[in-house]
Amino acid sequence: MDKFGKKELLKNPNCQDSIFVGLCSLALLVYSIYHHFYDHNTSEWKTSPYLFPTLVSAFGILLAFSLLADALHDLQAFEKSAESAGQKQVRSVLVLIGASLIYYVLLPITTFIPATMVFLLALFVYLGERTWWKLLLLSGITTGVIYVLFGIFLNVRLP
Amino acid sequence: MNAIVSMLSYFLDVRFVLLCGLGSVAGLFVGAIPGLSVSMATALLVSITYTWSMNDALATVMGVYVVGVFSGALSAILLNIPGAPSSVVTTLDGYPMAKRGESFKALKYATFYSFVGSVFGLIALALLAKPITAVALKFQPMDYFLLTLFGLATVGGLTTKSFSKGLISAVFGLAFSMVGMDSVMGTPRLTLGIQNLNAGIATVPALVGLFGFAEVLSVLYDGHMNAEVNGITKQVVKLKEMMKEFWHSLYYSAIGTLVGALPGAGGPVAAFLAYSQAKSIVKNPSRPFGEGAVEGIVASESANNACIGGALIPMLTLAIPGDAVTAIILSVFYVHGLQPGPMFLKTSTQSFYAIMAGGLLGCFFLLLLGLLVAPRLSHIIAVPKRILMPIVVLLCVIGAYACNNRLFDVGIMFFFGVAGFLMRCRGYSVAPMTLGIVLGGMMDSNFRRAISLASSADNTVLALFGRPITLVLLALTLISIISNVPAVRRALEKRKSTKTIG
Repeated sequence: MDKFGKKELLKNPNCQDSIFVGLCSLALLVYSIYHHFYDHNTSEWKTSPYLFPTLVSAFGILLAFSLLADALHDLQAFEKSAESAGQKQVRSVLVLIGASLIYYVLLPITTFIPATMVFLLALFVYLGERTWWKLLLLSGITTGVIYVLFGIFLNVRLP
Repeated sequence: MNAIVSMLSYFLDVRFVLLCGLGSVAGLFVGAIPGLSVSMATALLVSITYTWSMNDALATVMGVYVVGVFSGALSAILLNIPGAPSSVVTTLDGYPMAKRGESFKALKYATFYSFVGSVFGLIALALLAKPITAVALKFQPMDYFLLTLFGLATVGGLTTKSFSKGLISAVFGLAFSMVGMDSVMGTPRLTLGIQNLNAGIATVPALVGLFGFAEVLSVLYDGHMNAEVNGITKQVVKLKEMMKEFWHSLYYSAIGTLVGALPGAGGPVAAFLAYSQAKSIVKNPSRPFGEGAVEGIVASESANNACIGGALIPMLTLAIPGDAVTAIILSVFYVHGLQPGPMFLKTSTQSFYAIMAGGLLGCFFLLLLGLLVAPRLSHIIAVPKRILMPIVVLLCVIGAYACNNRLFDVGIMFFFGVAGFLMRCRGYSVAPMTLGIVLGGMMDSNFRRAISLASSADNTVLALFGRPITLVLLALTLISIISNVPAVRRALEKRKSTKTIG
């Protein structure tokens, strides 16, 4: 333990998580107490909508400390596991999230069919499909089937 | 007698049988294709069946659930990738069998004993639902609160290696469940001024995100986009030979049902427990365990399928889901205006029969599809992920949108998808969060009711905890929490190892 300094501790995922959880719980606690006293002008906790959130946030703070204790205990083990972590495709994940957000923005502007076709086409290409007729067929058929199934049969008002 | 007649009426209802069959076929594909899960399919189904009648929805969902849990074994055997978490143990012996060219035999054993396990679990549900309901009728608000807390604590302890992480996931779920209009005071709570959040975070988009979009992100992150499939050569497997493991399978099924009834434990735990039992009770396995012993497949498959009936017991009688899928099924009930709980058997008897009938029909479809269709699926389950994943994202978007016809829910789905993915990366299970989201409202209202009732009594503590049921539940909850605290756990392990050395 002694050979690990403050920096090493902060690099530990459990330690980072405990700080995040602690801050979130603290924010929830402050928010709940503030709104309990200022929204309802009452100090009656038993009927307050913020009784349970306060309890949950207090529990969250305790868990943050518990996780920090775990981090201190398992510091050495995490150092080893971090070294053995394999190559992960962070770029693919970011691309998918980005594409999904663009699709989300495009949906109300271009309506369902064009937005979906472009979205599928882009993702198929990015993930490695290169045959052009397959690309067109897959994105066209999938969009069509989803439109017929949800838009027509299930009466979903597609954007 | 009435119950049997009522259930039989569903077997004769062509629409019910067809929808259950349709659900079963969907479950077969969804469960078998790695990257698609039963939880994801059920969550998507909630949005599709939104406008359907209750019976139609139940028939489809039960078909997907029963066959989906089984079909995880297909990819476990043929690809060495479990299609569902509960099939992890099946890979230990299933894949070595497939490598030796015995995949047909492995599939046949998996199918037959999944059928046995599923039927066992459903019979247990039919037999135990009434007695448990009788006990549950005596529950008061504090008991419900403690029972839910016990469920969350158990889930936290069983689904991740770190108890703290399990509970943190549950705490976040509870916090999200509190967003929206407060049911008691009628005022918005934790909405941060966002009007769309006044109605609360819709459960279905959140679950679709946690199980669907997060799954896609995880698959992309791991980068396993293609898999190698073992071929299937037809073999003669005699029924007499297969039946040798029948009595053992009943024991594994009992383990599965019990584990399934524990909130949060679910298929993977049941399969591991049954497998370790099989190792100790089967003295002369066909081959050593882990090298292609059919006894290993029998243990894993009968136990994980028996979990289905087990998980439905607390869900129907106490409104406490046994696993992630039943948590999603619970939201199907809420969507259709049904209230599971102690009064469920009295007020919604027909729905209970529909669940039983759907489950049993699902078992027959499991047998049929497992024996006739599954051996022909080897190439379909290896569908390239570069094609599958974008389609799944699209289904998640539509599934989230279809609930309330609003784009805001798609945003919610993305938020929970990214959150679920980050949680998985950091070693957090999303199952406790799911239970937190689904059960949070119930916990909140029961807790406040209990406090309000107790505050008007002479002795508040006695009013809260003075009843035998409450004391038992409090003890169970405290034991479950304290025994899982890392420091206590380490101390217990140290003591155990000292004793062993001594």
